[in-house]
Amino acid sequence: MSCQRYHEAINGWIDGSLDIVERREVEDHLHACPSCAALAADLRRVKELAAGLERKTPPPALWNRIERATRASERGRRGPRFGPAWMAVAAAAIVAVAMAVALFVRGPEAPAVATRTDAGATPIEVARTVEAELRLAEQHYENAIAGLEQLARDRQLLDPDVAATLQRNLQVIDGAIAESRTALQAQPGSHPAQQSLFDAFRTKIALLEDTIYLLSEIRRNSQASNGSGAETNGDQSS
Amino acid sequence: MDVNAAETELIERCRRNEPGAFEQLYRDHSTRVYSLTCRLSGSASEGEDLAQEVFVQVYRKLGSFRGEAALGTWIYRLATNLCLDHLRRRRVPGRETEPLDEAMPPATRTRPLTADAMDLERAIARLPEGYRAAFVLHDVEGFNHHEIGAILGIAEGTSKSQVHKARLKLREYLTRAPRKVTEADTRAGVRTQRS
Amino acid sequence: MSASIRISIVVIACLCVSRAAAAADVAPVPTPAAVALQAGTGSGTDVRETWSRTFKTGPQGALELWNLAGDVTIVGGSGDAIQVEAVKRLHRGSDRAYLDRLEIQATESAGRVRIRTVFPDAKSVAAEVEFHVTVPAGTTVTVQTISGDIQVDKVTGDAEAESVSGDVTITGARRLVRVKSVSGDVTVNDAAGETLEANSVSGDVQLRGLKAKACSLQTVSGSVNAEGAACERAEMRSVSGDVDYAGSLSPGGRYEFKSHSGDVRLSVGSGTGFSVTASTFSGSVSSQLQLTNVTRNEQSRHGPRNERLQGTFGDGSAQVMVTTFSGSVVLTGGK
Repeated sequence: MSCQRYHEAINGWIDGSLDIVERREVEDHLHACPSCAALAADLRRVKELAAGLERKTPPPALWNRIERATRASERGRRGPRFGPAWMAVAAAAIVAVAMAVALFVRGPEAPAVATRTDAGATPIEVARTVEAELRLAEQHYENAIAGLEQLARDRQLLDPDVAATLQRNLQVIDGAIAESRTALQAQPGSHPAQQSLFDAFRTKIALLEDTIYLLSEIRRNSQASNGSGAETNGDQSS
Repeated sequence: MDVNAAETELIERCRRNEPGAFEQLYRDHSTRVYSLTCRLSGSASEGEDLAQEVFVQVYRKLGSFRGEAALGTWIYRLATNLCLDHLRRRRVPGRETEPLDEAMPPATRTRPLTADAMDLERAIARLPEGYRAAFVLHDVEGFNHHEIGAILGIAEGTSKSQVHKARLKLREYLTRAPRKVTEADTRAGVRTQRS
Repeated sequence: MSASIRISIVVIACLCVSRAAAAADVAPVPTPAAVALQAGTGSGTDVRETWSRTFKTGPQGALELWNLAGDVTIVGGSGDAIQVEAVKRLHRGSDRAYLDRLEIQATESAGRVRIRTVFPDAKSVAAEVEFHVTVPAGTTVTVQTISGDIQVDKVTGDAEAESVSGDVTITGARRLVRVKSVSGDVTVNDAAGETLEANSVSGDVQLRGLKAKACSLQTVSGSVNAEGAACERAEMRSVSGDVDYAGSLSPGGRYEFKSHSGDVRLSVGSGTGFSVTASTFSGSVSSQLQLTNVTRNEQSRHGPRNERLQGTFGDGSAQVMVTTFSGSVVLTGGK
């Protein structure tokens, strides 16, 4: 295609980065060539749309998560036991979750898969691909969860009722995970089932993270209450 | 108080661990960072996780920030690098990703492009990561090729070429996909709709 | 919803508060003599001690309170001092010495008051400390209890309240940040804030009248019930509980309502237009709204139908997304 060599120049023209001679040459060509004129119009549209894309507001929970992670990091400098270990695992969990989501959400949308489908791949082939993606994603989630569960297991700090509540609710979430998984095995292409599985994983991780944070707060306050250098300022009741 | 002085003061307050200082820094930059991490990673949930990681790292590394660049630029570079590392780690061997230099199909249609912001967001999420980073930084966030070179660690010419190829690819995605079909429909294989 | 509202005040004592600064800023207040009512084992009255302190913090001070056991009430008012009244109450039949060893630590530095209860043995709790605190309305309040309800009224400064097993109730806050409980209920009435997080794990989350930029109401096995949230962004979720929202939406706002097995019911006022996408794996989606541009998809012939409904109401300016796995989705309201 002889117009191929104009593609670069058309991009430059849209960006206003051509000198006067180059600009004239491109404009002359665009007058003469309707398909390149269409291309230029399209690329300009893409650029305009991109420039107009809205900034996305982060969800409120984001600051809370960051604040907790940085607060824990701060404390980590004073007490090695709960600080960096927690952060390292949480950080790894974040990466693992993000990767799992990526594999998971990206899977059926990847151009490769779409192409195969377009080319008339049988439904079974698509299902197998999605299932494989899913299994990989779940692996990542499970690793993240296992890491957090270990830290969250320090139950002696918690009242047995509270520990039982947390356990029960983790089971509720596990139930949601199991149901979503079963649904996806039957219908790998189901968007609501995928969404549910993904939401349930994230809810579980959030609960584990919150539990760890709670344990670290309790530990911090009960350590101090054991008289290890606590400030009292002499205000006990008589 | 000019921008630089205000920024320096905020950084100092953060370093001294003044309550509310880091939150102020977060509020100043969170929207830009989150927009970037969402677009580069292609999904809101990854974007959120990555944004969290960005600010945790900013918190940890603020002590060693020397002011060689504006705070925003420094944060941006951190965010972009994190996203790209994430994208690279995420690439699973054996899964096909589109080769960067495939020949572009010829332009064949003459109808004008009807696409909206949502369509473009989805199309950006499909771009191979090299193109995606350059395109988002240039056409969405407004950096020039020199700055993008510094952020991504590539030559200016490479940045230019990646942005151009990205635009062509996006155009291809946007003209191929019919307008009203949604993601879920694509995944679920639904081709017919009834109102 | 809990019948009794006990007040828990949680005060977080910070180890880095310098004693010198604290000593300089604490206003001298006559501490009433401890009132100790005699109690033999198993006989009539509780053994209790009272404790009180006043801190002159000015109108924009800060209060941080951590309490292991006992209810906390914080009320915002006029004035420029934080007044703390506490009652230590020994559990019947317990050793009086326990009460003596139960400390209330209070420090103040540069307008920031930190109060913490120190129980002699965190594993066996034989008493509780009930707090009643009056603060200048603009005070920043941070409260944490383990077991003990929390109530915060009319505080216009930044407010955070968390309990583990207590209920948390906030009324009339202007800069609410975070309200959480693990097994207690979370109730927020007539509040405003920038970004608000209101969570419980097994308790319910109830909200009446909120004005905020963004809010997130979540529970795992409890239900979420909200009315009249004027937010630019709102997310309301449960795993096994129901999610109910009644009220109008903000123009251009973005709302997400999700439950896994619970139902989601929206009753939207006729004010703002919105575009809605409601989907479920095996539940049902029904709508009584007058929608335009309606698309209804159902996926499979055998097994769960993967229902999905999309439509526009009015000018479609707000965006609403509703998702369940097996719960049903019901959209009503509008005219």
